[in-house]
Amino acid sequence: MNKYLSLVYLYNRASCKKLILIAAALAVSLLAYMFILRSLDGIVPVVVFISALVLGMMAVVTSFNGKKAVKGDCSTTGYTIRRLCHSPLRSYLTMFVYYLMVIAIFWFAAIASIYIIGRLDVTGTGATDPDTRLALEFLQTGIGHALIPTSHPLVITFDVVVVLAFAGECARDCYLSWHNGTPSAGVALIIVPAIIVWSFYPKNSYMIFALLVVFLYAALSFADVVFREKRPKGDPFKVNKHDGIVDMDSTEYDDDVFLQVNTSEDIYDTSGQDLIIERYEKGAERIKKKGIRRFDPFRLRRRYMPLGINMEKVNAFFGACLFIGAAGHFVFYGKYMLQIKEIEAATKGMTIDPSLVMPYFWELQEHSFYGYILAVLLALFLQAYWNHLYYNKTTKSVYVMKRLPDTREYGRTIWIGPAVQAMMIVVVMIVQVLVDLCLYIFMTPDIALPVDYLSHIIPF
Amino acid sequence: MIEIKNVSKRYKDKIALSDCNITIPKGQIIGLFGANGAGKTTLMKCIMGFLTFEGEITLDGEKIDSSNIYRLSYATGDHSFFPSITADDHKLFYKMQFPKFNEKRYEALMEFFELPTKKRLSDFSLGQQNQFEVVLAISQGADFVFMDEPFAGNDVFNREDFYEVLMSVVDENETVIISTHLIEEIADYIDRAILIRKSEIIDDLSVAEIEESGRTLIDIVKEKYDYRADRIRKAIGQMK
Repeated sequence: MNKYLSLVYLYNRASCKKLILIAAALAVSLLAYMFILRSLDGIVPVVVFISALVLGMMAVVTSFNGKKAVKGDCSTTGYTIRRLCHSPLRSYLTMFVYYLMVIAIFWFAAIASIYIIGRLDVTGTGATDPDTRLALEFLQTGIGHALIPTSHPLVITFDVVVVLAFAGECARDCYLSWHNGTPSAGVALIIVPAIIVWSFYPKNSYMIFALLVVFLYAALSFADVVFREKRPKGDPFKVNKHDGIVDMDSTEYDDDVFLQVNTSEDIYDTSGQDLIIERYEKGAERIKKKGIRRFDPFRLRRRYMPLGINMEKVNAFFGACLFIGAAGHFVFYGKYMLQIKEIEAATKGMTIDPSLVMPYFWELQEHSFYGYILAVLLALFLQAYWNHLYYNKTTKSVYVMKRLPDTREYGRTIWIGPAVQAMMIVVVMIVQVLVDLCLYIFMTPDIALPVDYLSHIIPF
Repeated sequence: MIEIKNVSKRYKDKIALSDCNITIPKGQIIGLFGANGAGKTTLMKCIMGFLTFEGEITLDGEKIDSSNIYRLSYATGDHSFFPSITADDHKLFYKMQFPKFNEKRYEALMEFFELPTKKRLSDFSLGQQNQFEVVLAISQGADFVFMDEPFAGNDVFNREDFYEVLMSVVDENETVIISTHLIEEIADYIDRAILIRKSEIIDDLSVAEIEESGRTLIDIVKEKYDYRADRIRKAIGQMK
């Protein structure tokens, strides 16, 4: 038993500070949701809520990561775990059980307290004190209903899958931190769909879809751990070689493994063909003469990502953000298809029930942008935060970056790459809305289109 | 010239630097000595502007900020390079970023230390990483080169080589400030020794002053730090 507890200590370095941080992050997110819904209308509460949520999640992920992102700590942890005679897979499972217990304790404590306070006063007429009113308010929200899993078997299933996936992802985060010093972003990828479903579950029918997504992601995540253990040459550590960790199994490295990173050649175009920004002597002269030849957002993004950062991870995260945005937008297609079915069923020859006419385009678009809003915020702020961590924790290159003659370079390489990513997501969103519009105009039977549909394509 | 006037630094309740006053002129090689936690690294980081502090630090009469920070370079045992890219990539980065980057010196030092140019820095041995860190700092084209424990992990022959090379490549306008525990090794190469103890600068000695005293640098350091040889015997006695 001591061996397992030692492992938990090594990985997690649990402290009251972390636990308070987690509890505070969750509480702030939920309270923000409640109060903002009450006091504001339209898109503002959603943006504010999601911002609060993203900040909360970042705090949670950071608290779980602890100091493991520091390569010296990872390496030391790896050695010590080996001396404890734990296999990497067993250490992953130990951490899985540990996190499952932590989450379960938090969850049940929260549910129990809310439920008890709520039950005590639901039938009462008093409910005058602020705490009770707060609890009752909370029970009225979607999250309140979803957290107290008595309403629907599907909600219970979803909650169980989310808890398992969350624990698995936290454990994987420890596992990856040990192996290559790069914590996983998967915790956020589990929490985001969960919060979206909890927030809107009474209104939508996509819970099965979300359930499948979370389940599949958790399965892939676990398969990733197992796959790493089954690599040839007994080598779950080989990526370390390319990520700056001195490893104990150096003789077993596979030199064919190559990690894609942002190199100087990627950043500074030495061929002199595609310079975009007026920065350096050679390019500056040419740009002055010819102007900016070509705007390439992909090159711009790469130019302003930190030198040496793991581009595989950056690209995977960007892809995940795009996925979140596009998946959230499926609300439109769902609404549209349901409406089309009803219209088709109600159409008799050339006449249609006036109440079943297709809603205006913008009405159908309602609630379909939450995924994109979240994706933009994640791609901007979380990536910028990781860039900052890369300079300050993963490496100590901040000592060079803060001494550069071009003093803005440090800030630029933290913010511009993520900003370009966010811009790309907005462009994809606009393209998707245009596709929606084409679908709306050309696929809807003319008889079902509102007469003035063209004047309601945009919300103002 | 760097002037440090009444500089103090606190970490919450702990005093890391207390009322430090030093002048660092051009063209000297200075040893910065002190026990672990004495404040050597903190002093360097304050000069580089990585930490906030009380007091004033100026470079040729101007406050050190983003406009003149490039005149300082910094080699640290924590390694300020980018571990996942190659030495050649670093060269390109430094060439692009530092206008006075001394490519000739860089190439010569890389060849002297036999460092691979196409290999990622994370694949270097610890000793090679230390050497590369120092090569970058010396080649940056800075007027003041700060080195904070740059040789931790290098063998004695390697260090000797380095001191010799340092003496020969650094010109009269460059100043090198080395923080290290290896006092005896470096004593023959420095022009001046600054001693820090418990966050205070307790002595600032030139080579001439050391020679005049008729003692070695290590003897002076032992005296200043109240080194007690009988402490070891006493501790061993208690353990037996």
